[in-house]
Amino acid sequence: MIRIVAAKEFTLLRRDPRVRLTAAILVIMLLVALVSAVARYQDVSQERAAAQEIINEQWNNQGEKNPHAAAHYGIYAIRPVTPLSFFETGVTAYSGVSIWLEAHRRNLPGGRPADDDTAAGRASELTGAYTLQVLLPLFIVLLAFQAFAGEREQGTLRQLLGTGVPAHALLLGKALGISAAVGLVIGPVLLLALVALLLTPGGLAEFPQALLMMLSYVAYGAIFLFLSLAISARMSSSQSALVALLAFWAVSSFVLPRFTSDLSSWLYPLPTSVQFERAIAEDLETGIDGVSAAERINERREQTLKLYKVEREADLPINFQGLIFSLQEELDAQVFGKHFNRLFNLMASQQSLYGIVSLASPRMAVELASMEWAGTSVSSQRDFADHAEVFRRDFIEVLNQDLTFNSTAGSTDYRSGPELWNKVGPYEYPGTDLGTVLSRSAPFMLVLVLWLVGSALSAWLAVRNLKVSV
Amino acid sequence: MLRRVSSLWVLGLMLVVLTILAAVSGSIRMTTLATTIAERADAELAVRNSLISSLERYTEAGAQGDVPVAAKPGSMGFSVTSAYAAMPAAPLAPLAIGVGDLLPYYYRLDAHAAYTLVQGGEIENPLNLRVGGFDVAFVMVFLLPIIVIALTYDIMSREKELGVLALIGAQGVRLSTFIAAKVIARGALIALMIVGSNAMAIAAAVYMGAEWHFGAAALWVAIAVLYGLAWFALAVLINALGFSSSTNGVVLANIWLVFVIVIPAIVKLAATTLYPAPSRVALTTELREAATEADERAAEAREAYMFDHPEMVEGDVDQEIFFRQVALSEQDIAASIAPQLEAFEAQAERQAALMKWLKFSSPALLANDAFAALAGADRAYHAAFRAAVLEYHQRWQAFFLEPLMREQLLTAEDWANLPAFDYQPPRRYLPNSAINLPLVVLLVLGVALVAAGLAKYRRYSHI
Repeated sequence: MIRIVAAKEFTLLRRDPRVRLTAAILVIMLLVALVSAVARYQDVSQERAAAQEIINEQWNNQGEKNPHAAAHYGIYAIRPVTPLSFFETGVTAYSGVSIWLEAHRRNLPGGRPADDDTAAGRASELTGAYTLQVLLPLFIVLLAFQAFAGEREQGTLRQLLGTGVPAHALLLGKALGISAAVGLVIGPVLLLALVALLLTPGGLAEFPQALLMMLSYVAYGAIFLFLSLAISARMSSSQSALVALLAFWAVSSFVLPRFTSDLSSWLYPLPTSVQFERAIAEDLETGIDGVSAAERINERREQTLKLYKVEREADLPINFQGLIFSLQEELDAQVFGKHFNRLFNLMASQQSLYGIVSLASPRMAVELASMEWAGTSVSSQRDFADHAEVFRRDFIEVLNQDLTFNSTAGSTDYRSGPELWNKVGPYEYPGTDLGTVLSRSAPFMLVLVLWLVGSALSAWLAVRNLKVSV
Repeated sequence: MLRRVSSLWVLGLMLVVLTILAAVSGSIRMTTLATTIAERADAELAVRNSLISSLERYTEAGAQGDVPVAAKPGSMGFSVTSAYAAMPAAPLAPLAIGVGDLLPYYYRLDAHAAYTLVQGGEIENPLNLRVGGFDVAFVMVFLLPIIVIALTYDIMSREKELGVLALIGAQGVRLSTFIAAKVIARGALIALMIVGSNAMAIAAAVYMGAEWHFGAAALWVAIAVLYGLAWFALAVLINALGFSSSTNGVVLANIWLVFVIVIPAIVKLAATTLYPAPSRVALTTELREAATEADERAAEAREAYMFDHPEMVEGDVDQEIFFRQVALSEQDIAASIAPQLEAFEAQAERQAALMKWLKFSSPALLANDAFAALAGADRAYHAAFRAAVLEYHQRWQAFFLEPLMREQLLTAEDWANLPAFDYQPPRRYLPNSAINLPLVVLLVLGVALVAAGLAKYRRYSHI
């Protein structure tokens, strides 16, 4: 019985010329997105890798220098790209790609790609993920809005119900018929995308994420399918079903995200860059716990003199300046940690607002999950910033220790060379591990599951109470 | 009929509420920006003035003892003082964010070379940047067509499906009269809705502090009305083809999709693929190379270690020597990376030139650009501001570098001549091709759609 209903639905859809238009748009967009993603990945990944290599070489070949001068010279951490980040670009265009790691300062990532692109149009982006998030539901709505309401209008619903087909068979049959049509249109493109991923260097490592991402889009499509069937079963005319579904699609996919963007800035305002820098400067001056750096240094001086049992700094067997640098880095790191974490936590709060609103918008849920899978979320950008900061602290400490233990007070002509530089780096960013990605995407997947269960249930209830006329 | 009327009310009210909400949100945003920068500029001025008065006291007391810092051009220019140059907001700024959340709305400048002025915009959550803000331009470009379509997709097909047309014919009313009356009445209502919601949005923005400018406001409303009516004319035309109401809905939804989503996405991809921005990362490494070379040249005259630690160099004169060398090194670096920086500008110009033509592929792009230009939220408005900032930076830098290089000290009288930033953005809207061309094209498009509709309705049948 299910098969007959499904086959009839599929045949009807196949013959509907209106469906072909949307199908063509969907497939063309997916293909263009795929081709441009493959091409851009090659370019950008090579560009980033080459730049990191040059930076590492520049570091190793900086010649003989005082270690502290080298610490000021610093290293740039460059965020590498992964293949999936071109399927779901997430926030990459709007986040900095490199961080300058230097002594005494923690810098925010700089060089946002979007700053250099004159092309307007923030909202639409030709990526696979965007196409699936926005066009797939529209396609499904256009396929499904007539499923029951259309039969009602044409009077065939009476005959259909007269055959005594059970509600679940009717629902599943319709759902399967429409799914077959959807699968026929986008299935080949998605398979192609998976093959392209496997053929891309570094693609295999992201295969689990890619599969999970596909799964979330399947769930996403199913949500819109069941919603459409539920509405179609309840509405008196296919026309009002269409209007209701399109309204839901437009509001939940376009209005709510932008609204949340504004709301999040009201509820959790971020500091301006001026406020941020000033707050750090104030804390650096007064000390995070009210004890100034100068006091701490004096304290450390007394301890060190006592330890080496000497009266004057000049008599120390080590370079006390190196110790001061280390101590300063330690104190500064606390201040940087406090303010950077506060900033990142505010962004995380803003993102959790998106999570809450996604209870009313399946698009937002699938988008947030998808950005986690692709490593293009705000949290993944924070991972990069935090990873680079750990690297910064470590390499500055290596340099400071060299200064402390291999030179003596006042020896400003002390020089280190390549052996020391080679102890540091090269900088390599490993990305976020799968476990973390899984746990981060879990809430959004849960929202998708809730939507799926809710929409399937409402469709089942609607079909069970199907009336010949409403 | 009752259902029709109520949906008109609901959708009209929705448009008004969303538009006003967007205007209020934009106004709050503008106020925050303005107060932030004003606070900072005031604090900066207070510090500078107190340093200058200590210089005055020192001079009055006969210039005895340590030279105050306000007399030293190097220290003042490079480390102690800086200027804030803020972008003056256009009258309609709260209505469209455009690139306003992406590009810096102020620059903090000092005596360092101009290439250090590459700072990005404000600290922002990249997620919010990606999603974009909820502004009036978004409501108009994106949502208004949906509302217009929802009000019009069955304007004639419904009458036909309900058999009203046949009844009308039977009553001896000419079909063309009925159609004309219905279309004009619905069109007038929609136009009224657009004028009303935008007028209220502008009123809200002005009430919340935006500047009132009649020309800008009138052009904004005109573009919104023309854009909305073009969608209305399209929907009326689709109705003339004689499909069922739900087919009309599907066709119009697809057209909306193509012009509002697909074409802008393809245009963006085309512009960035044909003229990709040069690599910022590569620029970083080149800048570093140039800096190293400049440092090496400078280090011959000075210890590199001292270079990194001006605080470790004893005495007053040394500080100024140090800053003199910084200035020279930066001139050196600026000269060697000028070609790379120009490459960025040139590519951005090529992208912009291409976009200028490509935007004619979609009325949504046209309207969006016109709104951004009216609100001073497009790249051109920012580019003019940035050019003014760079010019100001030259004057500001010269104020410090000239005495520094001549090894002179600054006097209290010199400070009276500190350059000020007095940039007035252009206020000529109609000569701006980002505004007048969309206006004309939308008008022509609307007229063409109406003409096509008239031709089609001539052969429209009752059943």
